[in-house]
Amino acid sequence: MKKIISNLLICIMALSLLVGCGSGGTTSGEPAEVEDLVLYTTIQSEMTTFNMLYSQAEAVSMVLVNCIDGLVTNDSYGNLIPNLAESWESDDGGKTWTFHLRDDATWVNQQGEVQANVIAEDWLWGLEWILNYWKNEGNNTTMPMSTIDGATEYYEYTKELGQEAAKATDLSVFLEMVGIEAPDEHTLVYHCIAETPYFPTLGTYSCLYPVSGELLAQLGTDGYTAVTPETLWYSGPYIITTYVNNNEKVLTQNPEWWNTEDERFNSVTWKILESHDVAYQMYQTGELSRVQLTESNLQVITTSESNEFHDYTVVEYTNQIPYNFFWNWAKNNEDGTPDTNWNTAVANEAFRLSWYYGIDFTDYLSRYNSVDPLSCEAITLSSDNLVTLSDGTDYTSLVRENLGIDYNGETYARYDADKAAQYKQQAMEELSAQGVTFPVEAVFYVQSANQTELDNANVLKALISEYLGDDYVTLTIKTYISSQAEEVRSPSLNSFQKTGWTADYGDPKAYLENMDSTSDSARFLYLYGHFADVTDETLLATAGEVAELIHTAHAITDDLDARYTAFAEAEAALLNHCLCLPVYMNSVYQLTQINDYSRPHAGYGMQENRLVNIETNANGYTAEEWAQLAEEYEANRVHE
Amino acid sequence: MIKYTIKRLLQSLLTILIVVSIVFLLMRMLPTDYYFTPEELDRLSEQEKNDRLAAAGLLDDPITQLLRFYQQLLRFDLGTSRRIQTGVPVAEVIASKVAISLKFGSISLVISLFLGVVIGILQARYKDGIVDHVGTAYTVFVNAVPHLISYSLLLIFGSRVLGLPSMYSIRDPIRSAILPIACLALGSTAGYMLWTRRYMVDELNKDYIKLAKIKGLSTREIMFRHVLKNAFVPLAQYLPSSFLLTITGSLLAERFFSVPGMGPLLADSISRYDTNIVQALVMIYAGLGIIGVFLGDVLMTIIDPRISLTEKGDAR
Repeated sequence: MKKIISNLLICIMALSLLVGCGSGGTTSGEPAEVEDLVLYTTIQSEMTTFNMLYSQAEAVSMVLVNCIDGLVTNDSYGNLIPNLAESWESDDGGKTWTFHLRDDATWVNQQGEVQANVIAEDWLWGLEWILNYWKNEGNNTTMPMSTIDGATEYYEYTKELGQEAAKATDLSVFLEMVGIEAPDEHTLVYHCIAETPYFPTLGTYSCLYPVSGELLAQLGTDGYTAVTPETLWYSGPYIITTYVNNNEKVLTQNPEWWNTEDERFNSVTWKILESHDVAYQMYQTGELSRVQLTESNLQVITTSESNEFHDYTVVEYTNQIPYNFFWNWAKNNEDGTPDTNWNTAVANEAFRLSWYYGIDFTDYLSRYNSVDPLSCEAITLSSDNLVTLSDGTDYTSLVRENLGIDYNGETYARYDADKAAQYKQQAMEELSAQGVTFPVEAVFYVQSANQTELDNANVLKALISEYLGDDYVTLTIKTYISSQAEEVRSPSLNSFQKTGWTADYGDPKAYLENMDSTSDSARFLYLYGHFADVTDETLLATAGEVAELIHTAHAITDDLDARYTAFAEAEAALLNHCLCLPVYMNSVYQLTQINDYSRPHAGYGMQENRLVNIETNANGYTAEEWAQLAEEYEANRVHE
Repeated sequence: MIKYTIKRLLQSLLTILIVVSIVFLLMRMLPTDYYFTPEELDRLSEQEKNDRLAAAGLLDDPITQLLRFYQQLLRFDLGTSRRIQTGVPVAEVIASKVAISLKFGSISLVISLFLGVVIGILQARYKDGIVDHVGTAYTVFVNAVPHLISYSLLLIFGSRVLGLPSMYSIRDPIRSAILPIACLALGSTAGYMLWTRRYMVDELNKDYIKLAKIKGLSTREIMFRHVLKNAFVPLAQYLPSSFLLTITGSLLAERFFSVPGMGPLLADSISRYDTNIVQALVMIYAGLGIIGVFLGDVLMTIIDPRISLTEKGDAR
């Protein structure tokens, strides 16, 4: 019996070796273009709706942005370029925006048959749907309500109407109340509450997307809520011809697409896969065009020079989302009483700055990028590529200049042991006088089922112990079961929360308004930080100063360079007071046949997933080729 | 028999009703924030959340909600999905997946039943021979190695050596179904082999087999007319359940090969708090389980006339 089992094991090992020696996905020879793109998402990212107006999820927008065209889009350098709007202008300094729509765009059904022309009224129906409390359940309302005249009033009006009446509304009251009009079929006018220089960039986001009034009439409100690829109308480059939930979506070319110049793939397939490991296996057999590498796969590839993909690992060029720790200014103990020790400590600026300068987060960054951890070092609250000045300077560069941090990519830029020691000593003195006992306990929550996040948190705990000292601060890691909002945030049990954020539109206000202590919509301060309960005069004054700088910047609407410069000063002030703590940016290693540098890029909106004019190499890109592409990309950078 | 059937049917309906009611009430004990996405939780005011919950009837007392649910069931209305496929009727969400799981499950069941029983017979017939040893080693291997590992090995072998598609695709439904079906059959074949061998070996050691041998019956006649028939009775009881439960799919195999079946649906709908789907699935699963057991009992009486469903003493 033992002999049989050992023979069997030998057979299995031999088979594994045979398989291990199998042919790889790369071939030599002239690079060929990929005509049928095959992408994937993991099972957690399956689409839950085909109603673009309803969802803010990337899983939804990354498919539908290829099926429905918006007013504007982005080029590969983040410049705003025409899409269904051929041009746009404002004659009153940004309060009224007029978009001139092209006249050859059509809506088609899943069979590619023309159903209607795309007309300005479709944007009226789109915005009515968004602002109708009972139709869209409040999704995607933040931006239109804060910018478009009468939007908030209409939202409240529909809320009062009740479910049935609101679902049956047409455009009559909407047009009376909301600052939007369609003087003719190809002209669309938005009236903003105030001068809004960035308003056209909102056109890249789903909140200003159109829906055909005829389709709504055909499907009804509930029908459009549950719209499927079979019932959806398309105006973009592709049509969803095959959709099997939790399996795959196949997009093929829209035969009636107005744009005959842009290049498209013959087909784009999104497979839903169990994990990135399965995806790696499929990339090896040539079944995928791109794979995101897990830490273990990356290690296997990079540590073995004989690995077929050793020269092919490249870092994805994408909008890097900065993740920050947002303080909880009014933490409670588990019994519901205020955690005075923590609240007093975090209100002390020296205490916060001892964290800011005192922790070298490199080991923490290694959890996200083990090969080049410092490439995901976050310095700012805002993301790169958000906006640029007229001379091409990225906005975040201005913030870094204002911060005076020597960002060299070789050492953790913010770490300054001397400053940290000074601030720690100052904090201990000041806080002791206020009755704070040491060590101060900080509580950080992770989801109980998420082992990766738990491991990350343990690294963080070790860093805090190492750099701040157990005599000063201790980190306690706790877990929540399913809902951070209900279990942690609502009872205010955490000391800080880690959050990443992508802007909906192209303006620094998108980030900074969330830290404006005078604004109810400052979610980072009020929702995550319970700032409304703060009583510390010094902290309130500091937050007030920063808010003032934000207001000053926001008031500049006629000179974008001056506006961005002022916002950069406000953001630097915010960080110099450590009202939040930038920690890391996402960074993904991949094997790919797609030239990321040819994709649309912007630090806001959702156009990055638009799959037109994409360069590819069916053999996959080597790291050397990738570096060359990056160099060419930077050399050709043009900002409008 | 009819009386028994009616009695079992009523008992089954009552059981399903109790199970569904318990699950329904348990779901209503969850925090109400399950109804909202994280974005909605952040954005909506408490008043707006309450309005939304009230409109959905979730602020009524649980018994009122339960009675409303029963009324919906009488109209065959399972509600709509809220998180898996927003706004789509639950019946549609489930129906699209049942057919696929049923297809994969029944094909793998037929394959594993055929292979398992045949190899099990051969193992029993040639006990301690080479077939028996190889079969036992296979059974041990399949049961000892985690499914994820054996699936991975099969995936690598199938895709890189045989050139089969790694994932199921409806655009290549036959070739792409080979690996998932093979994986599904992998484990159950071992199960049928194990139990067929075990029951047949048990039967072979009984006195009536010795008598049959003394009376001069051929080995073939003994094996198929007597041993297999008696050994198959305990297996037969589980066949209807096995067949019916193919509808529920396989969580691991379907997820591993992206088969859009029922397997991952329950786990997904629980993790995403899609309560309408959870309730419907629990009802379906409970119903299938109960019907399967009942049909198994009936099948046993057909195969083995000694078993009666009604007579006291012999009744099971």
